[in-house]
Amino acid sequence: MSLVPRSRFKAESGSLSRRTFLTASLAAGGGLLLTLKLPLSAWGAASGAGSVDLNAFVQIDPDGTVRLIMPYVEMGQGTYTAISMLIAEELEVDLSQVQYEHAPPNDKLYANPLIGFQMTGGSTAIRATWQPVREAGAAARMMLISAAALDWSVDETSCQAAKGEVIHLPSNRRLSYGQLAARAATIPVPDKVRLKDRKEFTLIGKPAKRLDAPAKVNGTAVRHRR
Amino acid sequence: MPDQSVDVDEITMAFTTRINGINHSVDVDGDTPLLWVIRDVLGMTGTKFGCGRALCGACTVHMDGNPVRSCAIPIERVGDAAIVTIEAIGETPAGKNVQKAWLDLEVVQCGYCQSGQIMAATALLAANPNPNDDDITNAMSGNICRCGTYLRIRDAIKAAAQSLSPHIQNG
Repeated sequence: MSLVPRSRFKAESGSLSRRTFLTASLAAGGGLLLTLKLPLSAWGAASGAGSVDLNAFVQIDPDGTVRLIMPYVEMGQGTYTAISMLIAEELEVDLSQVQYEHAPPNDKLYANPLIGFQMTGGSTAIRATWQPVREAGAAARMMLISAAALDWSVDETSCQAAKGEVIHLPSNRRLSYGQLAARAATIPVPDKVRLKDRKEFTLIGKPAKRLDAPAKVNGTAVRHRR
Repeated sequence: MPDQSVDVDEITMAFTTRINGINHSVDVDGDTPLLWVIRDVLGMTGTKFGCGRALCGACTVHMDGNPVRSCAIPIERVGDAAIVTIEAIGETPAGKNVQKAWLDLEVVQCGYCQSGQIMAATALLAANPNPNDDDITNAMSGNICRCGTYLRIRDAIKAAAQSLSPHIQNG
């Protein structure tokens, strides 16, 4: 039996889902911190511990590192790698630029929005993160582009994000995400984001090396990060 | 080393054990399993506790080059033997090649048994650089994997053997 009816989820969206709320703030140390608030599904609300305050975090550090708090447990199913691919795809960073930390136990912060408590299973991790994590990546990308355009006093449409940098195409000027993170944190979160079309995917749907594998072959895996 | 406070009534004695080339002096009961010394006393958590009865292989380490189940070896029986764990196996040619093959072939799933698998595979290749399928099955049959990574383990051992001895045809 499926835990959640599939019809609950839309596969694609051109704008921020009404069910996802993003907030941005300046992280300690001068980074950009994005918080995703995902209201519980009806099933989750009925079975779970109450409302979810915050249940996913994406942070861009001043050194350009993208850090994800992973509320889902890696049990060999590849969820650490897959969720990292979702953020990297829309944020326009290499997968190697993404680091993750496993979320501590906290039903209030890290409940699975489809289930209602902090739980990994039922093939829900990607279904729960597929849209909101990509939206967070796209929103962060737009805010970083806005920050760069402000810095250069140029039009945003003349800027493009690629491989962890914003590039001003006419002048070929570049600023790294790390350089832009603190300023991007002052930019309002966009109301609408454009998610990539499937044809534009460079990571999603393509083979990737498991990010959790190296720590599992050298005895360091207990650190919950790489 | 963490402070090892014990009841004053408890009879303990210091054992000096050579692990990954470093002598460690530990104050524990003589029947303390080597695994407990490695994980709990020395804090090296790459070696896993699985069954505690030498049935699953998750705790496999090398003792003078031989793969042994550290959960079932009392510290008093280790003596002068050189112990090597997953944390240092990459410093040996066989271990380095095994770890690389494990990554190249994406052997790992959940990963819990893999430290033991890698220690067993490395001991096999150190003793037999060109194992055939039966050799691999015999050497690895004491290491169980609930994810079922056995076929990739076999392929990775062959790949590691090939990179260690490129002139040898895999059997």
